[in-house]
Amino acid sequence: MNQKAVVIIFLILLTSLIITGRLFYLQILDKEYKDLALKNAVKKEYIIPERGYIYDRNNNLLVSNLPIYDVMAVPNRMKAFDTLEFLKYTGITKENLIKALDKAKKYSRNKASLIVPKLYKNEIALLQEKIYKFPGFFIQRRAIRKYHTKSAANVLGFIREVNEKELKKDPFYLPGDLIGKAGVEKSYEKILRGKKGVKYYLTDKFNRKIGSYKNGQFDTISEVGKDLQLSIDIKLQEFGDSLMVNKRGAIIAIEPATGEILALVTAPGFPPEYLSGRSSSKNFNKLFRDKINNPLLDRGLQGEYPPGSPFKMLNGLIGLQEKVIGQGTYFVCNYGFNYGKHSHMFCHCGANGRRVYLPWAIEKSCNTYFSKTYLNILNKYSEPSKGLDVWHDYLSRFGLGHYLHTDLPIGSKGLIPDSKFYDRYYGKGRWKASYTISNGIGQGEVLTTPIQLANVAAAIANKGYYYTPHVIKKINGSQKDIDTFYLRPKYTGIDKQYFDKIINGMAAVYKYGTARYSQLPDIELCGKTGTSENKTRINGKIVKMPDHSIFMAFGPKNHPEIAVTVFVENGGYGATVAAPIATLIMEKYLRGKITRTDLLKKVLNTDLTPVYQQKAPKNNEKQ
Amino acid sequence: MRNSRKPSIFDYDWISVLLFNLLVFIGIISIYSTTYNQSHTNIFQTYYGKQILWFVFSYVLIIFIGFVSIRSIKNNASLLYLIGVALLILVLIAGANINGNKSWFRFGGFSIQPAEFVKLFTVLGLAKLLTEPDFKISNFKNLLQAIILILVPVFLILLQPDLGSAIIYLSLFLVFYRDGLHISYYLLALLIAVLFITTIYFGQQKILMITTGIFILFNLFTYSKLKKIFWLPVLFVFSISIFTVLGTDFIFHKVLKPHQRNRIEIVLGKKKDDKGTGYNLKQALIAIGSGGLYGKGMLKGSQTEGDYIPEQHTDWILTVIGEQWGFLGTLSVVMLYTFLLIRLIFIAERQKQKFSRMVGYGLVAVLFAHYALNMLMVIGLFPTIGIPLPFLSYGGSSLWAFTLLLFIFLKFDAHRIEDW
Repeated sequence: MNQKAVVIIFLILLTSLIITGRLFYLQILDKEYKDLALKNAVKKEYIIPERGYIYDRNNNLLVSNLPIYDVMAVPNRMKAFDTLEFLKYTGITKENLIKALDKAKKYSRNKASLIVPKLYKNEIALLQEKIYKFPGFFIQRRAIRKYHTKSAANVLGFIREVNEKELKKDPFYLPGDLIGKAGVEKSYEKILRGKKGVKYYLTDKFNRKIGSYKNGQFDTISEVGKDLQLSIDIKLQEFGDSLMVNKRGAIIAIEPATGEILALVTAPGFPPEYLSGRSSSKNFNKLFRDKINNPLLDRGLQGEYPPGSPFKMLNGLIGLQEKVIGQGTYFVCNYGFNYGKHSHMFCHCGANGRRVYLPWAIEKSCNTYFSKTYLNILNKYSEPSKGLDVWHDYLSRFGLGHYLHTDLPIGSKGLIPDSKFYDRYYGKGRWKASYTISNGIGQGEVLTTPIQLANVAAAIANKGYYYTPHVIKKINGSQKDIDTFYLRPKYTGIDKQYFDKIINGMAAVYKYGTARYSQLPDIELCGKTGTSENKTRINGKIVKMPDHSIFMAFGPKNHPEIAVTVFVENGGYGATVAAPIATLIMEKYLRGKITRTDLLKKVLNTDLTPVYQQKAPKNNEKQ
Repeated sequence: MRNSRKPSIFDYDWISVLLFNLLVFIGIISIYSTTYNQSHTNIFQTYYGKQILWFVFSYVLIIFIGFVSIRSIKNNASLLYLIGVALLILVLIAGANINGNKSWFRFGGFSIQPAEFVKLFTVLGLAKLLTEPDFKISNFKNLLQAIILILVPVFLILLQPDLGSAIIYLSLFLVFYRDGLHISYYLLALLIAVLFITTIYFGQQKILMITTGIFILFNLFTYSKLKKIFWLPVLFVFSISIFTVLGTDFIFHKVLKPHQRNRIEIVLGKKKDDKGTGYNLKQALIAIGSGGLYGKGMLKGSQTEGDYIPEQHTDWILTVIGEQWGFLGTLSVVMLYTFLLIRLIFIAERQKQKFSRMVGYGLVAVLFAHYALNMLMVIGLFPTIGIPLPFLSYGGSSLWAFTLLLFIFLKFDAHRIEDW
């Protein structure tokens, strides 16, 4: 063959070799392009499962889901449309439509943007039929929470779109996802939310779906969120709400045998639907700014108050266990007693120089008896600090002075002082037991939350142990996914035998004592009134306000089914407001109906709003 | 010796015919996978439907060639060339303006790109010139004639403007080599190309210094070895080199348009522009690269089906093959072209007539330029220019022009033993 032809053939072969080499590099050696092709074309779409429902203990539906519709649009697929018709169907204004469309175009021409948010089913019906007239628009279904009760907003909580922080914290969430922000919606978020499904799509360069990716072999199916059954008795909860109208405070009802919270009322409250639906953001701001009524504060879980007289039960129990008081122990009460040169503890028990024995001391709430018991506990040890720490340990085991760890996301520690507390205040070794004497009667430095006090009532009812209060009863109809922490009894360290005396005293409170006007026929209840002093600052002056009314109770005496704590801000004596409310709650729960209609009428007619109106915006509930 | 038998259709080189059919078939399948799912009422409104139609019509052209006497083709070659030039002038006057290019004649819904067909006429005209009695390519005057013959259509096509087609015409200089032009011309052209690219890449100063350095070293070397300096050729090459290096800046910045400049810089890796000018190339590399060894399978390429690559049915058809059939697919296509080109050279070499051999080399040059530049462009080794892949890419003009050229040459080959 001609030599020049060979040269040309060589040139062709060389070129083909270069091309082949490059193709080999691109297609076999370099892996980068495979990922890029996937990134280009394969788009994930998440299928958001339906959120779990919430029921009360009697299987009444409390929270379900309501479909709600967003009108979305992809700017590049839009064509000219009849604006007037669109406005008519969706009910938005022309200005808002123009604004939304401009925003959508700025965001992305090929991706969907929200044009009209949150339309209800009846509002979307017309548009749904005529959507073909508006190319580029489509309707996206979402769900919001639908509430079947006007009560228990503090327990149920609410859901909201995730914020930046939550997005960063948990990769489960994507922008626009909903997340529980309070109540069980928050604490059981992972159970309620279910599992998202993923669908992989192939998309073209305009981001349009052109088919499933690898026949869906990587797709996952979504799992519907699990249903919650709460221990809340919604009838009781709603009844509690009605009792707390025109009052501020909290009602906590617990089943002592299980620690299940039957009712968790905080007043003033708000209906849960207030934070769902179209005006939820507006409503939230309204609630948030109301610093006078502070409806977002859960007074039952977060409010810290001096417990007052109910706290005496604990000092009695510790005294018995520490054997500083016993069968024959008595203290002489003479309108109180002097515990220092110029210090006098007043008492209204009316013993007037007579001996005071235990059950009676409770019935009459003798300050002398319990403050002396408290002093004896502390002075039993070589140093009051040691005695105080022993006392502190007992109270700790009752769930006081630290978080109770209920299954609701909020709470307060309260305060039970220990030796460090007074060492800091007075200096190490420079204080005596008597300096802290007010702790003996539940005043002084001691602070508890209503739920802690209700838990104490349950522990007394159980004679020595309690289950940490919780609102969860079942998850998807079974108890097996419930945190065993709530199924384990916690022992107080007080022997069972010592409780009988205290319980007898508490029963006497109903029979003959401060709560005798509230007693129920046929059912033997146990209770203890409390009255806690408080002051507030009005126009810069410290003014003494009407006392907080407190009542701690359980019943029936022999087989306790319910333990209650009622706390009414500025309600006066424990016997006047709190005791009737607690009794009505117990009667409602135990009997299912109210026989003490006179009591009910009295409570319903109690209106404390005039008292609250004197108060400056900032309460000073601590003494 | 005369052969009395009249050559029949069976005397066409069946290997070339087979390769031709294979390439068109691969093309139709690839075009189908880019556009099969577009909704059209009529199959002949789709690209693949149309391409099938063009393919069928190309056989009409083949049959037509069968009836044309080869002698009349040779005798009228000059006339055909002039008609071609006239067509290129006419398209500048009466052509349809598509995206600022006047490259197409439009008849109703039907467009024809004369530059494609004029390749055929230029090849015939060139072959005719080279076979003129007393024509010697080494004669400077004759060489100039031949160069002008090529540069006239190049100039006219640049006016459209269609840089890609114009570059293809320059490939016809390869025919001169076979006709006896000394290789030094090509080496000089290669030197100019290398200097042009390196100057863009490394900058004028560096290349000037290196070129001067090599010049001095070469002289010192030859002097020390042979005690002689070849002043004339060395100075000639040196001055051309310096001229190129100095001219590069001017050509790059003043003559080339910004998008052409961008494309050169992207290939050289000096610029990254995956969203703008470089979008096509980037998406093409993703498509080809993601194909792997075996490819993703027919209609399973996400890049192809997602229509990420504009013009994937025409100039970028290799991406479709690369993604769907992987390295095995692209390698097959490369081998088919290589085999066809070598076969055509083999056929050209067995011609007794210089005219038909020159036509063969013209075909090889044009086909090779199309194949090489298109593939090098798609795999990112050559700046993006609009050149289709012969027989594969969608488009009637390109397919018919190559069909005509190929089958005219094959007809010459079938008649090679005739004394015409």
